[in-house]
Amino acid sequence: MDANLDCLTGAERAGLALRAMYRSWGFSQYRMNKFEEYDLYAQNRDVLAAEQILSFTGPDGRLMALKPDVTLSIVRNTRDSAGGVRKLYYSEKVYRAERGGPFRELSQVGLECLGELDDCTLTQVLLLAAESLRLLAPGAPGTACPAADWLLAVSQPDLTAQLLDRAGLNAAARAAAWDCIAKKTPHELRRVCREAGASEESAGALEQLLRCTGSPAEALPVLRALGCGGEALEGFSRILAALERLGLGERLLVDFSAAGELDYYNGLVFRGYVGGVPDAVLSGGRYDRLLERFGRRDRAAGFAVSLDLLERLWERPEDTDCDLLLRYGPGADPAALAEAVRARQAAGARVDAQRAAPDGLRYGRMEDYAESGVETR
Amino acid sequence: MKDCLTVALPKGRLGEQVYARFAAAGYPCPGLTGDSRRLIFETEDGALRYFWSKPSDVGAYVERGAADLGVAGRDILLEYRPAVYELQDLGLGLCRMAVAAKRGFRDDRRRTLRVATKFSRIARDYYASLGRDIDVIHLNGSIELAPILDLSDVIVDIVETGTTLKENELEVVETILPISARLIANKAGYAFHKRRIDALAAALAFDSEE
Repeated sequence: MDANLDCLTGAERAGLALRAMYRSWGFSQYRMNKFEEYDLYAQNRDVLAAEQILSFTGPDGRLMALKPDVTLSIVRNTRDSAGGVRKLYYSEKVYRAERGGPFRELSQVGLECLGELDDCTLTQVLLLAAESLRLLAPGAPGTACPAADWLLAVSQPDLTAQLLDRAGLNAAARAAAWDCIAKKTPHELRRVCREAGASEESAGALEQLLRCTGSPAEALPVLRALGCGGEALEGFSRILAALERLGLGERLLVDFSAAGELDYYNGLVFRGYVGGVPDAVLSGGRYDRLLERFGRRDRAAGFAVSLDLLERLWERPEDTDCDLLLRYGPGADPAALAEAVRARQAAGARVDAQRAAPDGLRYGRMEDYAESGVETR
Repeated sequence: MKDCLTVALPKGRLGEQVYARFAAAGYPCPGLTGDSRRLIFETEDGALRYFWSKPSDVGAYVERGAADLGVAGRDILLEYRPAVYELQDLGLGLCRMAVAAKRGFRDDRRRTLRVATKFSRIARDYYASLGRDIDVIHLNGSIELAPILDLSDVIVDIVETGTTLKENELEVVETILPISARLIANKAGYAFHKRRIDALAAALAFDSEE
């Protein structure tokens, strides 16, 4: 079957392109039910991006929910990989209401690696995130914008945690400081540290971390100078070096605001931006702690691409509903008319046969159909 | 990618102070303060383009990327919570969010407190932190009328000098938080234009410490 992909929306074409790429890297598709038991989300609400969950009572009386999140379902419904890494990709709808807005159906494509993660697997996850952005960015085949621009912002929340530990903040102040770093709000961070009694030196270090946004070559020396260290920094450096060797140096932005949103990330967090889209289109990271919550020994990392954000970028504007309006008169032979439509479709044209053009129909050109042949005007 | 950064400025007195700060920082755009009916104004060197916006809309323009940068009061950011970076406290538009009531008001905790405000979320958060049961009456203007006409027991509103309150026999009962204007940035815009945005933020900050 040869399908003409022109009929797909921009988001659908983007999703197909991503899925094909993940398959080519050995990822297999994970399909899941639209519904899960509500308890799964209620018990893990702290790690969900969604504030509201769409719930309903199932036929057997159990409280169910329309999936607000894919990763949680994968973690619950897979088993430890017992050596090696289970590599899965998905293309799913999720249902969320955020910040007091209405519920929306959102399309996500993403991948997850679950198992014994090493630098090679983590590098591959980040490389695929970068390749996803390259594929989605304006200028890529099929997109409407001419210029190509994309960035992968990466951070290591364990380094943030090291500096927060040093500042000795209590739980509330720590959460507030974390939020300030996520919002790049230095003036509030200073206030939080001052009110929590942090030393000037430790507050200053946190502010420098907040401002530490730049290429790996710019950021890593700053992190070392701040006294960050251990495997958190060394592992981060190794992964960044591997990505630079893969030619991604100019596309990487070390940015600690990327670590602030979900509680389950550890080790590595990243967000992807493409030019022309006002928010991150890709987000992901390492989430070992979420697996621990489910009693799993596996480690895990992955990311999701929000296809809805790409809708406008990937949409080819259609000025017309059809290329050709074939206008027929009373008494036209239905079979002959259908053959006439078929003959004109052969050239790839969208052909609509009508007695008269309905209000609002936009067409490229019109032909008057006659039984004995076609009159063009 | 466009070369020019777009800045949403809040209409009104605060906006004029904010523009003066931008101009002093090296980003003047004389047309912005004239009588022109144009909606968007570009600096001569093409570095920035400005537009005036209703203050409560600035966050939406910046969050959705129609503007790379904007200036909004802390009240607006707390009420609408746009997903933006808050890069700088500009130290302008200083005032406070406060609870006010008729002179001599005493809170009777046996009753639900009726609170009139434009800032429903801030009011709810504040009273939730106190464990106080309230009935929020959302108004869009002339908030001071509410306690005078017994529509509410108290109001939650911005207080600058307190003159309007005094003239209407109202007084501040409690300060909720200090307010000032903040420089905000779109997250994706910041990632792509970090150096230019940092330079602009630094120029604005330098002036604020003068």
